[in-house]
Amino acid sequence: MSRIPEKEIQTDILVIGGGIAGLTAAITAKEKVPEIDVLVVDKATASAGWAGKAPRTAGHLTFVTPEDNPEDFVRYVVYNIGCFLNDQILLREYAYATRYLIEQVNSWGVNILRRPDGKIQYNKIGPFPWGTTLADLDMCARLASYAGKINIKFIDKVFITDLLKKDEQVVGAVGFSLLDGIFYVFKSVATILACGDQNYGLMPLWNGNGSGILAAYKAGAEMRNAEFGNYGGGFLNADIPQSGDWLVTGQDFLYNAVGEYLTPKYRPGPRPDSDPESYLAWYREVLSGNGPIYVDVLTSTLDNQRKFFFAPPGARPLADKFWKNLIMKTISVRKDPSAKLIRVVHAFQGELSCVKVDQNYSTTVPGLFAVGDISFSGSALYGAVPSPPGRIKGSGLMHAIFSGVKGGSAAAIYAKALKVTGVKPEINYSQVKELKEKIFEPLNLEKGIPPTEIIYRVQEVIYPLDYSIIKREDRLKEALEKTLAIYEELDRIKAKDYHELTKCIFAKSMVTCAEMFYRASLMRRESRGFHYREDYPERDDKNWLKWIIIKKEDERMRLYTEPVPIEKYPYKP
Amino acid sequence: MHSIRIDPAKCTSCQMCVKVCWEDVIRWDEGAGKPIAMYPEDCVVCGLCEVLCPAGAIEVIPDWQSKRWPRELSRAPNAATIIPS
Ligand SMILES: Cc1cc2nc3c(=O)[nH]c(=O)nc-3n(C[C@H](O)[C@H](O)[C@H](O)COP(=O)(O)OP(=O)(O)OC[C@H]3O[C@@H](n4cnc5c(N)ncnc54)[C@H](O)[C@@H]3O)c2cc1C
Ligand code: SF4
Ligand code: SF4
Repeated sequence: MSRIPEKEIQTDILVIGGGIAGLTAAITAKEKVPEIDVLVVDKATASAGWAGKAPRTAGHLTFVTPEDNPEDFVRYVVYNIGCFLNDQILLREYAYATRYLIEQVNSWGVNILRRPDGKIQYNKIGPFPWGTTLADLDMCARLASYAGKINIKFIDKVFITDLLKKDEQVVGAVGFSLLDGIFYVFKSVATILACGDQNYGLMPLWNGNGSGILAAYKAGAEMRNAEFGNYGGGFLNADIPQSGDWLVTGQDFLYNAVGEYLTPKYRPGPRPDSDPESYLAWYREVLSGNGPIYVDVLTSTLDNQRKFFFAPPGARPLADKFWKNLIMKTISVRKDPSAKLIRVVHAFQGELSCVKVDQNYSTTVPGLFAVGDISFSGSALYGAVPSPPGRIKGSGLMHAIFSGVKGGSAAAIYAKALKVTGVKPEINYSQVKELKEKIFEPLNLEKGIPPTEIIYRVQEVIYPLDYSIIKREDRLKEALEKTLAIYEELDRIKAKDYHELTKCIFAKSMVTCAEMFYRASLMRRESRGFHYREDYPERDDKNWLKWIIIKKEDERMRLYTEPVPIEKYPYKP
Repeated sequence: MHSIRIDPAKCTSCQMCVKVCWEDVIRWDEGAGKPIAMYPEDCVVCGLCEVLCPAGAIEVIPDWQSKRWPRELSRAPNAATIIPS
């Protein structure tokens, strides 16, 4: 392995991942302290601005509009979404900041939908204290172009695998080029993880690989809210669920096999978005012999269009083209494209985003920050829900921007402070050598298992609804056992080239992420938010106003609880 | 397997698709001076390469049957179908 060439690069701030959160953090840091060097490294081509999820989204940005009272937003989220597991201080800051942040990204070149009078155009759905505006899908291309102008540097097509530590500090990272395998060693004063969450590769466009969560965990960073790591939103066409024929608002138009309309029975009242109740409907009806379950696609599609695509034609030229193309492709998989009822299964979106951060998006390891999807649940901003869409569509991009601004700013101050005191990043070369051996190991095996096999095995333990969303002690134990058994295979994982080597890391991170999820789910003996336990169906505020913290200690995964400082917060159960 | 068809006659070698693909499916072939679909099995059919190719030279043809899908309940006997017995 020592034959693989190496490159060593020094920077003040290293941003790992150049999606919308990474670009926002990089720009904020550079504008805050212009004399520091900021480098963005991405496994895709972040310098052009098409990496990450944002260019493939609906472009919704949900914010607290001028008609809404930020205090109502905080109250609604704490009571109905976060179920008191929120960091209410951070949430309040967010509620007040969102409007300003939309103007901020607009000043960096992002196109936001405006009314003829120049004010932000938005849509309000239901009685909720927020509204949604739209951006076009070239948002990251515009941010990347702005970043280039202010002298932010990029390295594309490099996959980061591990963080480097000296004493207790993170002092850089290592990775390899997908193109030629060159081993990269980065030395940095501050490091920002912005490389997305864990999606377990089930829904086609949800491609978060969890590599940043694994790297942070290995570096000793704490995790929080991992039991809220799986999201079920809408339903999938059961004939071919792998195609991602996703009936986004399907939960409002559910029918059982005898034609009974299920939504009012299981999900009464206005709801901002998905919740476990619609899956309980699917599950209970199937188990009691009333399956299969159907969605009225004609009505749900119209509902979806009304709710989500309200921009006038031509206002978002790229989004119009992108969605037209994607919808045509998706509908073409349907057996009968004009059918009214489609048989459905749950649309599982793994969304583990548990890297714990404080109100500056600083992790528990000095020198390491985490922004965007990777720390959505870990920040506790939204509380007892998985990362976006969480329970409010359009909160993923907004949280990525908010956290990018906060974390980028804090990292800049941290890097500047260390530079002023003359501290230079020093790395430990024996750690680098060891990591290099380990990373390239799968390329040296004569015989072994391809990473896709491991990936599929984890999918088999994470997808079933009665393991991951409708939980019960015996089934959780079974799922955890199956997860732990997969670890034994990881030494035999084999890659034929550098492209496949990235999948080996994806496979490994999937196993660790599934373990975190099942351990935390077993520990929380109550139901709250998106954590539903059949055996403990009630919320237990007496014993469970606590966050579950996960940490690696002596090579083992340890779980602790930390009380939510509810006495300091305005909203209490 | 999904197929990503790139029409060399239409392609102007602008490299946009190589920059757009987030799954490392499309690579640049130095020798030919054209893009090449190197890892079509990893395409997620986002369609962004098609939409952004200025020459309209790319067509992504999905083959979802080639992808495996786990069963939706841990104790359910069969894969994508839940039908009352
Ligand atoms: C289909 C879809 C529609 C959505 N619609 C909306 C919407 O309308 N509104 C909304 O608010 N949210 C939406 N979301 C959610 C939203 O897209 C995300 O919350 C947001 O884009 C997250 O940004 P991020 O920068 O944190 O992560 P990502 O966009 O995932 O970026 C992570 C970056 O890190 C890179 N990376 C990953 N691992 C490594 C590694 N090991 N080394 C180097 N680089 C790495 C990736 O290439 C990528 O560029 C949607 C998501 C999807 C998938
Ligand atoms: S984007 Fe189109 S024209 Fe440009 S290189 Fe790719 S195929 Fe050729
Ligand atoms: S459709 Fe998306 S994933 Fe597939 S080749 Fe094109 S850009 Fe890459």
